[in-house]
Amino acid sequence: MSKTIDHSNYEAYFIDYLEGVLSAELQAEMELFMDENPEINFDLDVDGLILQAPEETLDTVVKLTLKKEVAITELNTSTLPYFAIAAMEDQLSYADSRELENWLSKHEEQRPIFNSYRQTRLEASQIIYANKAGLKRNTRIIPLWVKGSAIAASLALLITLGWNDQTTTQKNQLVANNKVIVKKKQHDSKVVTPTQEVDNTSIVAPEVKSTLQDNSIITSVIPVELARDTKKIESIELPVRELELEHATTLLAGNYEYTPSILPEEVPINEDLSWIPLEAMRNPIAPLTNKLTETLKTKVDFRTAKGTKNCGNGFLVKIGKFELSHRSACR
Amino acid sequence: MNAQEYNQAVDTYADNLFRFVVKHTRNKMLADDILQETYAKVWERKETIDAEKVKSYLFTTAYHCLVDSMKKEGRSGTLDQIERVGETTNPHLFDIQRVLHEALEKLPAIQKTVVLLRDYEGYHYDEIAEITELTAAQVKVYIFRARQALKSYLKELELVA
Repeated sequence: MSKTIDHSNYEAYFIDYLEGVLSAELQAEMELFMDENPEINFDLDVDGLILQAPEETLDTVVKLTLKKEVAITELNTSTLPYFAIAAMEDQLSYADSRELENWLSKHEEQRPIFNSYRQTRLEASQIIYANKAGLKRNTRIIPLWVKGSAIAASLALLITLGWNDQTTTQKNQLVANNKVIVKKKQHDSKVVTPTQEVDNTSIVAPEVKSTLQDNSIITSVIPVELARDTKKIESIELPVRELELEHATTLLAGNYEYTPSILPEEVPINEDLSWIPLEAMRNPIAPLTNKLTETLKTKVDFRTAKGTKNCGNGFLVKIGKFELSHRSACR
Repeated sequence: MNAQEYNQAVDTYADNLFRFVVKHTRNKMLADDILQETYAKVWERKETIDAEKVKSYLFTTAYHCLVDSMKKEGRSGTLDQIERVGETTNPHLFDIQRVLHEALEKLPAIQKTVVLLRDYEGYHYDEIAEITELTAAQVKVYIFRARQALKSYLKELELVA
């Protein structure tokens, strides 16, 4: 006779069984199914329709773990899970372990259940923490006096650097101020004349600010031959060379008041400082030299105070910066 | 504990500690943060820590950091956003072990902790109790219940009897 109720449909028949609507034949079959399947919990939960899972073994284990001591004499099929776990957790004494083994030898059908608990031990997976170096600390022991020295040295360095920085700033300020002063002097004089002899072939004029470029300095270089030629010098176009100043911007950063620059062509020649040919020079002490020439009967050069002919006794005349001397060569 | 012993503790226990933490968080960055915090705390108190007991101290500190972190971030929320990182998949791992690690994720946090400390680190019940601030009896209950749950999980998949 084929059975109508099986594991796939017993829930539906069970509800009908509870409601008492099953036929006598199905009711008998349902009771037989319940007897044959004691592991199925046929109690209904609050909602009344969901069957609860069997939890007898869990309850047994929990109960036993709550006890202070569990005697091996309590070992049976229902308490086997507890003893199986206790065995794998090394919670059994040697004697209890022997007793358990004896029991298992007598109940070989329970050995797979016993072994299944042993398979619940986790094997550690290989995980490597890569940032170990970041966790480590410096193991070098530094004496306190070294730390103190290091701090003192650092402070000294900071102070020195700060002092140097201030000194440098002051120096830069001074340099800048000097430059400004020089510029102002140049503009005050409004003169472009050769004053400094650099070598035998050229004379370098003082720096004059260009009218075209604010932060550049123009230096005029006049060849000696041309500079000494008074006639040519008036018509000559001075070659102009721009010199980049290292701190050109620094010069402009101060309270320098800009005034229109002077073109070289417009600058009058300072005759006092010009180096011009002898013939072109005017004698500023003509009465004196003329008197000397007349007295000595020798033409006296007002620049050297030397007579073209040396004769008679010498003399020395000193007027301010001028120093006139004569020694007679005519014996 | 001096600096050399501290560094030795890094070499010896950092991997284990990271594995323990990342198994809980399943988030490599979070685990890394917890590990950094753990070792920082140990370094701060190095004068009072015995080098022979540093492992227990490390795991205790890491566990507390872990609990604090899980409280802050909310356990249920982070589990959905976890990333499967920090764990090298071992192709030779048996199916049962793979399933066990899946089942481990389904355990309550405290059961997971004690099982990890027990199986991975080999701690005794009293040591686990010290780390987790439980009693040894509580540790025993949690471990037994975890074993039972793991076994049931394997049985559901018909991997064991």
